[in-house]
Amino acid sequence: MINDLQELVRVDNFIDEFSRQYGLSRQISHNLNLILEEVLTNIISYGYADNKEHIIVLELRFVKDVIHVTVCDDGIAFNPLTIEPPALNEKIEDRRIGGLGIHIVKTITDDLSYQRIDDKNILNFAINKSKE
Amino acid sequence: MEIIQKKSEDKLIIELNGRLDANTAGNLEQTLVPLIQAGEQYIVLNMDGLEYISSAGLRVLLMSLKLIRKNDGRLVLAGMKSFIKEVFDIAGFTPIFEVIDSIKDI
Repeated sequence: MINDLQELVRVDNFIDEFSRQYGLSRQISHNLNLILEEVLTNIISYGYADNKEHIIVLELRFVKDVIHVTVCDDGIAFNPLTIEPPALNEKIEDRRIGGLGIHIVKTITDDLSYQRIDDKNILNFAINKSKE
Repeated sequence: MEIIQKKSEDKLIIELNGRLDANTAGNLEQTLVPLIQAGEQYIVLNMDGLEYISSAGLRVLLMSLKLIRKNDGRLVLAGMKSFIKEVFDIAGFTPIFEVIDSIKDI
């Protein structure tokens, strides 16, 4: 896929197809969609210092009831694991608008890991098919 | 995403159908913000037909809630599906919003 928010529609269709193929529940399919949207929106919106077209590579593997996902991009270095969680218990007036995407990703993925290799960001995570 | 507005006595019911994501959150923002700025004080979002929400959607809802509360207004969320409720819980939004099971509970 390329760095354009319109591509998220294609990702959504791809996940629907992947979910059908492997019999994933609606909940898991929804979570997968949500995580990828959050990750990809960040990359597309903040990952590039130029206005050029870039390729983002998505890889989904289904092994022993676990979905393994890799997202690889050539944008500026960004490790989501270092981002502080938002203050969730603040009063509404004090709640900041935004900053929730990464928190959602951290919460609903397993084994989230980040590497920077050859000027590329590589994000890996897993989702267990049977997890509710 | 489909956004349908219906005025019902003192409240404005807005039905949301489809996906509230990075591509569609802007549409909802452009609907809600002018309504609240124009003085609408009681808005109910009917989420029966909402299939998906991401942080982009949450952002618009929080922003709208802040705006309407400044005018002493109410923003009520009705009929959330379980996986949408889960996203609300993760975001810590459930305690700050007025959430009801169904539009019929108003």
